[in-house]
Amino acid sequence: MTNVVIGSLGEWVRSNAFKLTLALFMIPALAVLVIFQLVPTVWTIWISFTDMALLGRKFHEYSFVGLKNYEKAFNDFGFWASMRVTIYYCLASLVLRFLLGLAAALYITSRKFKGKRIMAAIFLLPYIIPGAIHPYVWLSMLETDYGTVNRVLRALGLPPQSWMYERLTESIIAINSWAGYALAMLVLTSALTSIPKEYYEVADIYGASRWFKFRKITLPLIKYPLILTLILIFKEDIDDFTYAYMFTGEIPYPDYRTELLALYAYHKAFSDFELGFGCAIGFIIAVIVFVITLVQLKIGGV
Amino acid sequence: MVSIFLDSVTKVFEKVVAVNEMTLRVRDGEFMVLLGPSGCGKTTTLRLISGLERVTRGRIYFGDQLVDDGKSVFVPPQRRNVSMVFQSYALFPHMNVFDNIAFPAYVRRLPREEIKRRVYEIADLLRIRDLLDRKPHELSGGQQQRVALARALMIEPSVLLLDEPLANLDAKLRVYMRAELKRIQREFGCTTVYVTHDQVEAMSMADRIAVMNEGRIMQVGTPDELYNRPANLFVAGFIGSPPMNLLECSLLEEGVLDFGPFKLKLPPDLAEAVKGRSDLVFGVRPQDVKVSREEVPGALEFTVYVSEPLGDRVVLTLVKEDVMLKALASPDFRVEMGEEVWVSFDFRKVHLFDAKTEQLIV
Amino acid sequence: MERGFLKRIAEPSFTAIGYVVLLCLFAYVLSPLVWLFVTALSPKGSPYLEIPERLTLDNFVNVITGRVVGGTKTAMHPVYTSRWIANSLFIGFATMVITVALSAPAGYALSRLRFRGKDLLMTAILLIGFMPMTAKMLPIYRLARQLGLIDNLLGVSLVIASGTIPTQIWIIKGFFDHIPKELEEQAWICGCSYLSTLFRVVLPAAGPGLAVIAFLSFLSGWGNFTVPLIMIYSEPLYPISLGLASIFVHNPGEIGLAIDYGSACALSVIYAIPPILVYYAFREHLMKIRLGKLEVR
Repeated sequence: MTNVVIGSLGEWVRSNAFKLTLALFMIPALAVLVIFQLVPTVWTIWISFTDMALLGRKFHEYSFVGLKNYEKAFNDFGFWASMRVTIYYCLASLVLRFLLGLAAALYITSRKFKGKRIMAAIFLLPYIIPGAIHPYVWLSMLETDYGTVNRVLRALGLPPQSWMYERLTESIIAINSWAGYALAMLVLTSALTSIPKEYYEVADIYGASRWFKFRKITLPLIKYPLILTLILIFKEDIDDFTYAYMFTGEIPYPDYRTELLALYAYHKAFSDFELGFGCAIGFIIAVIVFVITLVQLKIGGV
Repeated sequence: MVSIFLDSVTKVFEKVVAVNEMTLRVRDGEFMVLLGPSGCGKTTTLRLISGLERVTRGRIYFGDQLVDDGKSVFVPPQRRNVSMVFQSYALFPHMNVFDNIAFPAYVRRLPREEIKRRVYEIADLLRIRDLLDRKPHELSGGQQQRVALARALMIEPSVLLLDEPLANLDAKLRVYMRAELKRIQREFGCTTVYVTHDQVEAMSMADRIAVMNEGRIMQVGTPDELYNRPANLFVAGFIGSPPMNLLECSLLEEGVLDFGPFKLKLPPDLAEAVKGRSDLVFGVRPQDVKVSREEVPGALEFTVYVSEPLGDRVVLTLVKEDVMLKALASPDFRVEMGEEVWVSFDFRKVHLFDAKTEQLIV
Repeated sequence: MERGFLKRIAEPSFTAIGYVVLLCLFAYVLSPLVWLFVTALSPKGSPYLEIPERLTLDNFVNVITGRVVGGTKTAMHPVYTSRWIANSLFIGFATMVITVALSAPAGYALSRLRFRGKDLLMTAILLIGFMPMTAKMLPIYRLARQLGLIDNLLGVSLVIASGTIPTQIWIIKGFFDHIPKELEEQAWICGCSYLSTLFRVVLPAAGPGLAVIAFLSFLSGWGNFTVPLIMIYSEPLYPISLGLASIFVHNPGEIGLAIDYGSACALSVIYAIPPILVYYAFREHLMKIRLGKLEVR
């Protein structure tokens, strides 16, 4: 750091050296983001307009085919079957994950009781362990003859189901809810604990019932985290196909019972090598997420 | 130890002029206080002196050396040999007190032994010797402040800058630290610039005070000068507690002031000085307003509006129609609200101002 | 009906009903895990929850030293469990290093700099992180092919890091925002150069924040499934997630495992341990991070 500098550019650089260095700090991160996140996103859209394939001749000699992939999608049995499964899966998961999470959050934040910390830790456990483990964890539950779920059903006099075969869709919904409610629980616990106690005390002074307090104080104050939770849950559900893949493999079931849209896109691209088509589906998924998120924000009044 | 010279310094942030053509000389070894309300630019001035901000226009000199000229010359804060104590103390949270104080020395790579010796010396001086291995968050406000001060004194700076260092302390501690700071400054002899909005602090500690408002200096002088000869209305109203009474009036012929509800005849020397002017402001400190129960020649009749006993004196708020006046009385002068009293002024202590700008006579 | 449920849940009164509900919740949450742990410790596992005659750590030993042998009913087949564990460790640490090295400076810059379009940039970063992965992953294969990153653990770490960097930048920026600028200014006044201040004052003060993003990014790398799925095709290079998927057999009507249940469960337990440890270490911070993007007011 010299004191006297001659020349205007040199002087500008020198006196703003610190700020320039800071700006430079952002570059590596932004570069990586652009290369590995932004470019693939844009590329997906572009590829969806071609007939590019993952292997073979069409890898290099693909051609631009406009909206053909999208037309194909709308006329494709697999696409709509997959769409149906996905809607079922996402809706059921959203409801279950959210309600269970909300219940857990309300429970955890309601009163001081011994072992609250441990309770919270236990509730959190399924969310913490890596996703690839979950199907393993549920193996013993879902087995047809001696699995825990069917044993309980039989004991209650209800018919046992073939969870690993017939009812795979329901199985992955169950696994997803079991593992995923904790997200809602975390966000909502944070939100609930940030409501000042004084509001409830004032309501108590005026003799409000518990349900009234919940409706008039709790719900409005956690509105934003609530919407955020719904957005995050939906985005995760439509995107993550780990369980579906582990129960399915590289080839979809003939009746597409586990074929989430994301898995379908993967299969089309990596099993059938139809990269263009797969990317079209991927883009459609992105659009769906975008639209649904906007809808959620609108409904929530954000 | 250096002198500081601010030559027509201006600092503009985006659209806001924080410091406006300010010229100030701080003498070598002097304790200069920048006094003014929030937003007057005193902290900005301090930051300009420290090098944390660059001037937009103007120059700053440390002694003979040009340190900032707004163009190509700029000595960064690292090189100015100044020390600064922030209002928030800015103690490094991850280091203990010893390391905090020693930090400037570590940076300059002084030898271990030397550092240790000096830290102990300063810690003794400020009476924080037993806190040396604590962390900042374990200390009380007063202790943190002394650690910040210790760190500032560590390398014997030429210039010591203090930004409202006593603002976060409770009243009793503040009074104590005022005396301590003054004592330490005398001992070390560094040129000190101290920023505050508390005029009591300024008056008690400063060699000279620069009263600032809206980026400009209103008046520079010793506490005495500012108290007895305020150059303008702003200074007059700012210095002194309780503040000076400032009453609007107009000059009639023959040295008579018209306040509306009453008139006041000026003594000949004052009348002579304001001859030819029209709108004036009459200034007199509550201490110089005499109140009595019996009529005194030349006195005016006022009604007691509020009486505030402070223990060692009583602050009376007196009204006459729409004119309000504050006066100080001794504690045994007992009056009731609504009572009528007689008010007269010590004309030797009266100040007359033009519609802003000047003062005329003491 | 929902009202009553919520009401009851909202206030645990320790009546009989309360305990029953509690028990059901516990069963729901824990029972699937119980089998996992029990089988991992049994000498010979099965898909059914059975009490083993004795507990043993053999499964863990086998898994770690790679002596697991597997296969379907038709052929024997080496199972590289020890390599998988090593791969996951590598990916976890590599992701952590890359993420912290890139996110911390960026977060610091974004915290201290002021410029037009900063909010826009922050939002853009957020949005790119929010994009569903399915919209991004397919070309990653092609990109990786062209960059020579297929079957490359470092490449996988790079891609995973790029996915978690947006979140980590937001988190670490939040931490830097809480370090008052005056701390740096004080260091400068004390004579510290700009670079030196970063290392002596800023980074130490941000220590907890750095720890948080380090651990979160490690977990991101450790637990990731889809990126390796797309980028890794050679079995010895699988991370544990792909390994577990590969031995999970799923021919229609025949869901089972290609190796013995004991080893599979042991591998799963090993896979589950680091995240549990990390979350245990950060149990205080947990509630705060999640709400980093939205304040409730």
